[in-house]
Amino acid sequence: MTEPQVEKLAFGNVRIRWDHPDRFGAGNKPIITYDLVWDGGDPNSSVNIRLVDTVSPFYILRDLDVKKRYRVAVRAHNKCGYGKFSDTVNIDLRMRPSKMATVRTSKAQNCGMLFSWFPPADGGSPITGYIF
Amino acid sequence: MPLPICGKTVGHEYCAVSMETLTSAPFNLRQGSLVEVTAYAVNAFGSGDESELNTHGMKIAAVPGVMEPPKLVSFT
Repeated sequence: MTEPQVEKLAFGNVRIRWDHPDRFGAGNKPIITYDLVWDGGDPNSSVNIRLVDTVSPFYILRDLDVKKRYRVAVRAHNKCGYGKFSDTVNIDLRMRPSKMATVRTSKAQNCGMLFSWFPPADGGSPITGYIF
Repeated sequence: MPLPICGKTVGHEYCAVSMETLTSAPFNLRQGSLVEVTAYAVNAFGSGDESELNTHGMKIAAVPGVMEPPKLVSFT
């Protein structure tokens, strides 16, 4: 099968979808299910942990850790058995930081002013700076 | 208008700014003006959305203006 495609949804959620194989790719038999596997976010693990065996051409993974990288692959199943797995696809959920809350201004020493703020969610990648 | 003296040190979520900085170019804020600040965070994947402008907070202060000369009201 061709490798699955990954679509980022809300924070930490992704939709993984794959194309139905054509008749030849399906082995001249109807596809019964698709077997989706992953590594569970462990880079030392093989991509062989079953996520789902489903008739759907997609699957939604929820509440992933945005700091981890995941790998997934899929294979089709017909009456003759399971085909070979697709190439693996990497899921990288890291993204730009979230919107900052309003900056506060307050008195500082010697007639100065102090700006203070709360760091926003870092999107899974460390914040390297702020622009004012 | 960027304020490059703030936000370079991650982990210190505060920044002291002198009135001189805000009252001189390029800001040229006048005494009594509300200091409006917006900011966004940056990481390796890009820039976050800007915060909302503050609607209250500190206003520009300055040294006192020139006083009238003292008056001599009585003497003996």
